[in-house]
Amino acid sequence: MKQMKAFFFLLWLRLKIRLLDMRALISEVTIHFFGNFTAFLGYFLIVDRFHMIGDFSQPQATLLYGIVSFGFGTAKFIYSGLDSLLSNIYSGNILVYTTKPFSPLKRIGLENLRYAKIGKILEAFIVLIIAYCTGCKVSLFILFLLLISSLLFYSAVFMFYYSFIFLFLYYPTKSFEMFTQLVSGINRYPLVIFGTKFLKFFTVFFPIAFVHYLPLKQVFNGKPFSLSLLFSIIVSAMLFFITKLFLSLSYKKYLKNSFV
Amino acid sequence: MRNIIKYVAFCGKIQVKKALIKPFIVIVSLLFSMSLGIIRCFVMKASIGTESVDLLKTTVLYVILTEGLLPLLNIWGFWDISEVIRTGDICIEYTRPKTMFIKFFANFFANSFIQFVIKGIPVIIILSFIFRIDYSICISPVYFIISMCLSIILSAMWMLLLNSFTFWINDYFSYADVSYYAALFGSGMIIPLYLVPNALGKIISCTPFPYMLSKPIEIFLGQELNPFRVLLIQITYVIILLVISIIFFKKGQKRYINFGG
Repeated sequence: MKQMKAFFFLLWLRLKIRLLDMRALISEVTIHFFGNFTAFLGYFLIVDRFHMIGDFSQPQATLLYGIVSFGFGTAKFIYSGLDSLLSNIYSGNILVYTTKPFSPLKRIGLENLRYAKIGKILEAFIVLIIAYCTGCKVSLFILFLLLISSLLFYSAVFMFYYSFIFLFLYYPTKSFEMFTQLVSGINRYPLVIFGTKFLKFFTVFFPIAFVHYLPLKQVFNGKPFSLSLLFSIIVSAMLFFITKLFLSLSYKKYLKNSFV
Repeated sequence: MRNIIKYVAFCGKIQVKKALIKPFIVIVSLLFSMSLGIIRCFVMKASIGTESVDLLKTTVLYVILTEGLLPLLNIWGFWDISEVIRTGDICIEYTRPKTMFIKFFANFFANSFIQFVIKGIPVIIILSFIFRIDYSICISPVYFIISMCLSIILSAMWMLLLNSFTFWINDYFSYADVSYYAALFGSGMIIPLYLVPNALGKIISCTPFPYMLSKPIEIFLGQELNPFRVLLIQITYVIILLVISIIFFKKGQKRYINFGG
């Protein structure tokens, strides 16, 4: 309870500090929003012109895009602050953080929250609104489940990578960013467009089809609470907890080897 | 003149060393742009596929060329001058034998060329092989090459103008993102400009962005019926941007204050 209180107090404090420079915050968020919305606009114009993409209609494709944007944007907002983990390790600051009331990971993440990514989350909400305005008929409860599943999945991806920092004291920032962008980029489209071979690959070997594409397809086919939707949430939650465990284990391993 | 050519060659050497210092990053970014190209081609195939075979062929080739030629433009930013203004190192730059403009252009063109060789050419070759592209539909290669050379110069002028804004807005990262996304959309990287609705297309065609990438490719694909007009517009934009950026740069220099006066 005391820890929770301290956590929220620090969160409130950081937010207050950030709000002191309101103009910079608003411009950062706006730039991020327009940047992401431009990319969506291009996609929307193509789908609008040809009405279908793969086996999804325009509103369905827009909904998929919005869900992925939300999951990816929110995970980035929460976790990309951990980019500074490596510099904290090298400077020795991480050992100072171990004396604080809550975990250094939480503290570093909290202190480096990427407020600019709020623009990405905002874009996701606008995309979702556009999807509903253009005629998407998915109930809000199912949408909520899909959003949660998406958030858990991308959080797992981020945490998996950050655990490498503790294990190898190395973090390939650029290649990691490219990889996450690619995963979210592929997920934004109905996977059937990549052909049957790629669809098989994304279902069996690199099963990202279970996170967004397959559950949504079942929902659009008239099965409101399908097995694949449940499967998607379970898979994402499992991935999330496994990677969280992996991250904390690698952190403990690092602490064991360091001179505390 | 000889000295300038020697200097450009020297900058080229440095850019090659810079690019090859981290071969892993080069390979990863090559794979990344290739994957993006593949995704974009598949999206186009899935949307246009049933409508028209000719349009599909042209659009896939358009996507491959935009992905391959993009490194030539340094569209994601070339902020050498901005960086020296921001850090205050601009004072040291004034003591150098070559002017900042020559240094900027030498580095820009050298970097464009190296990025194109490392990233652009492999992307075009591999994607053409994957999607079995038939280059017989292409016409006017001479106009295309001239137009592409002009578009590199145009892109350099655009970046010079943005760099000179740093005298007023020290934190250039803020407008770097805006310019990046505007250039990306306007140059046809996100969606081919001939697929954009008419009203939006007309607005975009009033900016210099389509003349950086989209128009040269449209000349190559035979979609632009009057290539000479495009070349003329490109030259006009180059002159206008050069004049504006020199004016901005001179005014910026006058108001610039650093330690020592």
